[in-house]
Amino acid sequence: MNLKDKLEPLLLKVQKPARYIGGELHSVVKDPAAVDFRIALCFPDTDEIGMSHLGHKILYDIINADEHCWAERAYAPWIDFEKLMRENDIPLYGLESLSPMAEFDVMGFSLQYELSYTNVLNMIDLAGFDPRREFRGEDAPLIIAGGPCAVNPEPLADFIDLFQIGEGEEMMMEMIELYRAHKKKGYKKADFLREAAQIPGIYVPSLYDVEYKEDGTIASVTPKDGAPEKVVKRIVQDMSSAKYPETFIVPYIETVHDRAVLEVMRGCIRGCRFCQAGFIYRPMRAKDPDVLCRQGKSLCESTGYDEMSLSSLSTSDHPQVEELLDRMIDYTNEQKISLSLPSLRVDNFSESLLENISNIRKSGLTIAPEAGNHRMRDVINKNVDEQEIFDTCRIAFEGGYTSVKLYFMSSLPTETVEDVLDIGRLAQKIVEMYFSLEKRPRKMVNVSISVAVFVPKCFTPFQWVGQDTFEMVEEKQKALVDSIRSRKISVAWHDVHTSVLEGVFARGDRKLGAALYNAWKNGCTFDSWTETFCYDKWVKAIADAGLTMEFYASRTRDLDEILPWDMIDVGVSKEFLKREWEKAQCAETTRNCREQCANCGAAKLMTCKKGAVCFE
Amino acid sequence: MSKARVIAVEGGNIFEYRTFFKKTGRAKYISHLDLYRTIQRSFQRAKLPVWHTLGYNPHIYLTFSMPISLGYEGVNESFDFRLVTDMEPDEVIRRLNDALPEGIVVTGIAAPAHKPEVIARAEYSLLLSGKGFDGETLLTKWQEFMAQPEIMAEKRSKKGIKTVDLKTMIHGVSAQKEGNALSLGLTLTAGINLNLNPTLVTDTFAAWAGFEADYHSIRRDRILCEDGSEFC
Repeated sequence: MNLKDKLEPLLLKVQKPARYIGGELHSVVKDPAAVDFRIALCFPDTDEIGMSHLGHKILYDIINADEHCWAERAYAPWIDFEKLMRENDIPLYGLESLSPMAEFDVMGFSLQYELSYTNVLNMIDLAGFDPRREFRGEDAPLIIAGGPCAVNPEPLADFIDLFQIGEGEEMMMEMIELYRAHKKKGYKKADFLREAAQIPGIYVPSLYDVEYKEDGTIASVTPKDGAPEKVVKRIVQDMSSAKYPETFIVPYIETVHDRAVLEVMRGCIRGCRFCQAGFIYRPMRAKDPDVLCRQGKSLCESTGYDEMSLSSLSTSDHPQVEELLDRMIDYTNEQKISLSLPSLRVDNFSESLLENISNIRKSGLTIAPEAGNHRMRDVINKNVDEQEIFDTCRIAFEGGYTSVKLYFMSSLPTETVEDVLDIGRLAQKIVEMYFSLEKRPRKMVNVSISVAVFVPKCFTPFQWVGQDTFEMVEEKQKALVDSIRSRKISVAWHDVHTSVLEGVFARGDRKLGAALYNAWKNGCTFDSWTETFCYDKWVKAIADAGLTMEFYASRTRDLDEILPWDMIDVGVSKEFLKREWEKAQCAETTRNCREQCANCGAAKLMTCKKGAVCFE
Repeated sequence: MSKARVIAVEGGNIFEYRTFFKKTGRAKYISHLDLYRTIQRSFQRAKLPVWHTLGYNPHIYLTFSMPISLGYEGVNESFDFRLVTDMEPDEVIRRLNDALPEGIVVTGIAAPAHKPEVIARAEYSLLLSGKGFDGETLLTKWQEFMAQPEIMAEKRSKKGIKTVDLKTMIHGVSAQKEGNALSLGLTLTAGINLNLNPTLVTDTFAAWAGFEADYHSIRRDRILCEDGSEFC
């Protein structure tokens, strides 16, 4: 069934109708009769955000390369269109075929941030099915999920049939193959799930029984029907030979990252202790510059993008970054393509790298010291000293910049009010340094500081730490704002409410499923959007489920407590995380993987490299 | 002889062409800004020797004679671009059409004849319906609506919102029923200084008649100069 005729009269009544109709260049349209497997890659946020997500593009490409399979896209309709869809009985549909979700075998959700969870429920409901897996019939598509948040799948365990843990490139096709085999012999969900749980990396929540103690912590987790005790994260062994899209869908409307995105490596050698991505994507695997140049060229030529970004968690840590840049810039200059390098570090900003960067469009300089003084930066293992921050700012000012943006976090473990005030002091020193420079632009300087509220995440050394309470966060925020006298410094804060809610779900357990369901029933969707976020509804939803935010967010866990995500193994060991937590409390740093292996445990995921040291 | 308008710049000549194109089907949901980006990328994919602007961030020079609104189809729209080497229009058409996305088709390329300032009117076709109204009622209501001595409506312009008489900007009307829908042909004031969108007329009509208009199609058919000749 094609919904096009039903959609058209509605589209002109909503904002950005191009979000809802497909037809973009390079979107893949197949004959439904010629395929035997259909999946909707669902992104629980708007089209502009989902279309920017690289993981989605990679899976779309890999699945569609198989002639038996058709992968389509589905995004969360914005509230204006959702209302019209519900009023006119239009179910959620795939953007390529414009056919309803009921015609799909699988709906696969990408979990990028905790505050998108209500949209997952809403999209399942819009598709015409009960979000709770217990109440969903055999006629509903299989609902699966993956992405970074899936490393703690438990808050969504009541809704998702199957989680893919880690990198999906290989695991997805193995799961699809099994699904197709089951479809041929007569698909029964329970049988399929039991067998799927045997595929490495796949977690089937219905096959795990969780018992709780009286205090609400976990007493035991028991796998059944042969499901593994530990689900080990999947990784791509060799990034250079892994399939990467030769082209992207070229969107009509401007997306968040509307450019050719080239993933230069996966993982990070740094081990900043607050950074979940730094641990869950280990080990670091870089792509060969030859491969990157070929892929970058192919992407730009086939899409017509005039902007390319070299993407990774820390692009200047690529082992051959200078060779890569030299070669890439030759191509991009000739083609008048602007090259952007997000995620550079201030401590390996070499002269030649700088020279290359000066060739690149000046878009404003952003530095992430993360904390205001040296002790705090040692606690979080940021390993950047103040002089390096000054040097980078000085070079930027002398190169003509008049504004820098600094990213910080507050409410970090062991942090005092004095530590937070050092954020303002650092900004003030940068202002003073600007005026001391002879070779500076004759203009006013602007140092803007953006302060996020630290959210403890699972699989980091801070996974046991209690998050600052509202009162503590607000006290620190007020102290910092009051301390800043200069009009050359501007301060922006991340919202406390969303940070606490994120903290609740990041380390949540299965019991939170009831709260999530309540919140969605009360009308919560798009919780990461300020215009739709409603904190009061969340307070009620959590209380109605008989739970408290404090239990999840501000409670400090015992080191031997069974954690909700203990059945997941992302490579780094609990012992390593404990060691890191001990060191953090003494403000002791750990060297990066390139300097010295910290024995984190992720090396065991590498099968094709010899020895225990995974790096290079 | 070049089929473009030849412009002398420092270091040689560049060649300006006017492209006529259709924007139909799903492409109608592209806004003007998005269309601009879409065409730029198509040039990039077509590997044509386009002329880039000379600023700090060079980009492909592209100018639209008369932007078309989101939701409108257009059958004879145009934009101007420049090449650094002279090319046969047929070759440019072929390469552009290979690179353009669904719904956008180049129909002709020539040297610009008119300046965009000469655009005075445009012709539109619309098909609309309203819940609870049949085609006959819509047509009767429309005739009553148009028979009013003046049709006042709030019109947004660069200078803010003003109340204007739409009738002074309506130059030709045809109307008939099509099933449960109303099919309209409208010739309206168009151009850089004063422009009337057909949906302002029909939305005003719907509000007057007491329904919410469902648009099945809105199409700009022709763009005209003051003397009635087609803009080219």
